[in-house]
Amino acid sequence: MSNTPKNDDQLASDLEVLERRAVSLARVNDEDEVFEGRSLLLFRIADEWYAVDAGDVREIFQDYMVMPVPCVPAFILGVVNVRGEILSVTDPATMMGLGAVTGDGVTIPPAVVIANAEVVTAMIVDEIGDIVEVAKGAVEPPVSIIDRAQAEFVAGSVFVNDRMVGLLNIARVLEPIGA
Amino acid sequence: MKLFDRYRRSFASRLTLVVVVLAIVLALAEFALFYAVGADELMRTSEFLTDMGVIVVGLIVLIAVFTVVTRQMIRRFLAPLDEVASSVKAACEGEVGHKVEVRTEDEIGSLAVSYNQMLDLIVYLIRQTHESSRRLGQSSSDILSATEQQASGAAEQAASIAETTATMEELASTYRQIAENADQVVTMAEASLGSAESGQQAVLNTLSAMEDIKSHTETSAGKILALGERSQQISQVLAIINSIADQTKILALNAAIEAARAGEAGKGFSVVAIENRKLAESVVESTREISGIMTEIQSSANDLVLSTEQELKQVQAGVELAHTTGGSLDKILELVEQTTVAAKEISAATQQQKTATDQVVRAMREVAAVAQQTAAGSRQVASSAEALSSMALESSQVGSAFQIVEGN
Repeated sequence: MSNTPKNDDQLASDLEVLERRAVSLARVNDEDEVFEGRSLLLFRIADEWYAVDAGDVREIFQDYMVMPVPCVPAFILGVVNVRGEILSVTDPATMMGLGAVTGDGVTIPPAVVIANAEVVTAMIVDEIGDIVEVAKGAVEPPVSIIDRAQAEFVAGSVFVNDRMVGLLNIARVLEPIGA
Repeated sequence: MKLFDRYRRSFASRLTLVVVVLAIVLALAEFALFYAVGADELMRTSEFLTDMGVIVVGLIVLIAVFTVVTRQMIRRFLAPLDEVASSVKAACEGEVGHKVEVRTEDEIGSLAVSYNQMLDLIVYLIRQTHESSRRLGQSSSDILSATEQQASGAAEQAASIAETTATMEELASTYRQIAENADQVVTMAEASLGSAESGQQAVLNTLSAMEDIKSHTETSAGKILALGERSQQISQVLAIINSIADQTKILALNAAIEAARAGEAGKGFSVVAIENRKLAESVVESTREISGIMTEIQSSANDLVLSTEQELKQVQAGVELAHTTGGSLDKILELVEQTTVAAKEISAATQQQKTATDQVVRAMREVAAVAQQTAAGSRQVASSAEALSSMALESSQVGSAFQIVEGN
């Protein structure tokens, strides 16, 4: 939030937002008992949409500068400085053998920072979608049409927003090399 | 009284009569004498009567014989005179040339000689007269024919002169017509000049109007370009807004992620994050709308530019057309000027021709006057020749009155 003084219109809209928040807050408590779900972040690689558990995602960013690192596998594009922290940049498409993330022509595709206990990496994708809530039971086993090479990376599939989305296997993605 | 007339006309008869009367008187005188002398003797004889009768008869016979002889002798002597008389009579009646035979050398003979000479002279004169009158007649007829020819020639000349004069006058009127036509042509050429000049003026006006249109179109094109630039700027601003919205979306997503990681504690915050994202999405939607409008504006501007280009092309074509028209008008002006010059030349030439024609007419009139004079002169000559001819005729009549008899 900016520190500039607001005029009356802005104050009015702020109040409006706060009111809605209050209303939905009240509702969320009701819904909380009915709806047990998990948040998924959707993203696109080429023509396929994938999802990753929101709990595994630390943040998303774009407009960064990748420093290439020599003598590393192809799916590691290099390193990036995020607020003083050095993260590796990986290409999931290369990892899965789907080619490379082109980012739809944008030079710096958006990156999703995924992390587990040991490893943190910034995974570049073509497009970042919404964060959706799905029911816990909505995750199904992976669809058979998915390529075998990708199979180890995709833990399951879930039907969301009128399409089948593959749930990324974070453990496999963040598996250290040689381990 | 035929006998009396006869005696009156014949000299010989009168002479004979006179001689015979004289002879008779003489005889009577003789007789008387004889009677006087010898009558008494005679009367004594018985044969007096017989003797008297014989004497008388003898006397009568003698007188008769004497008359006859005398008459013959006188006739013979007077024959040349008779001849002369008959010749003269014949000459009076027209026959000239009867020469008289010269028998003696006495007066009658010399008369005959002289008469013959005179006849010769007369014959010669008559012949000369004949000849002269013939020649005169011939000459006068020559003159007459010559004058007739001259007259006919003069008439022909007069006719030709009249024809020529008429032709010249026709020519003069034709030249007047041509001069009038040339003047008309000059007038029409000047009118055409005026029209062509006004046409040129119109072309110039058109050109200036087209220049105006061109400059206006260029101004419009400039404005459209400025519009395009403005929409470019707007697009840039939209891009900035879009990127801001994108970043806001990312922020919102990050916030949602934090909220999810926070679990229960982050539920309220996730609502904030969702609101943020919705705001960002609405901004993106608005920018998309604006972008769509901008695209429409841009396409309209492009259409306008294209149509302006079309207009410019048409204006260019119009300018070229106007230039072509101007060129044609210039050519027309040139031609009109040439036509005017030519018409003026024609006018001057016809004027000269008219002057020349007038001169010719005047000369023709002089020739006509001369011809008239000639005609008058030849008429005079003709009348003189006629007089001459009539004189010749008279003299030839005079001459032909005498028919010359050759010989004698």
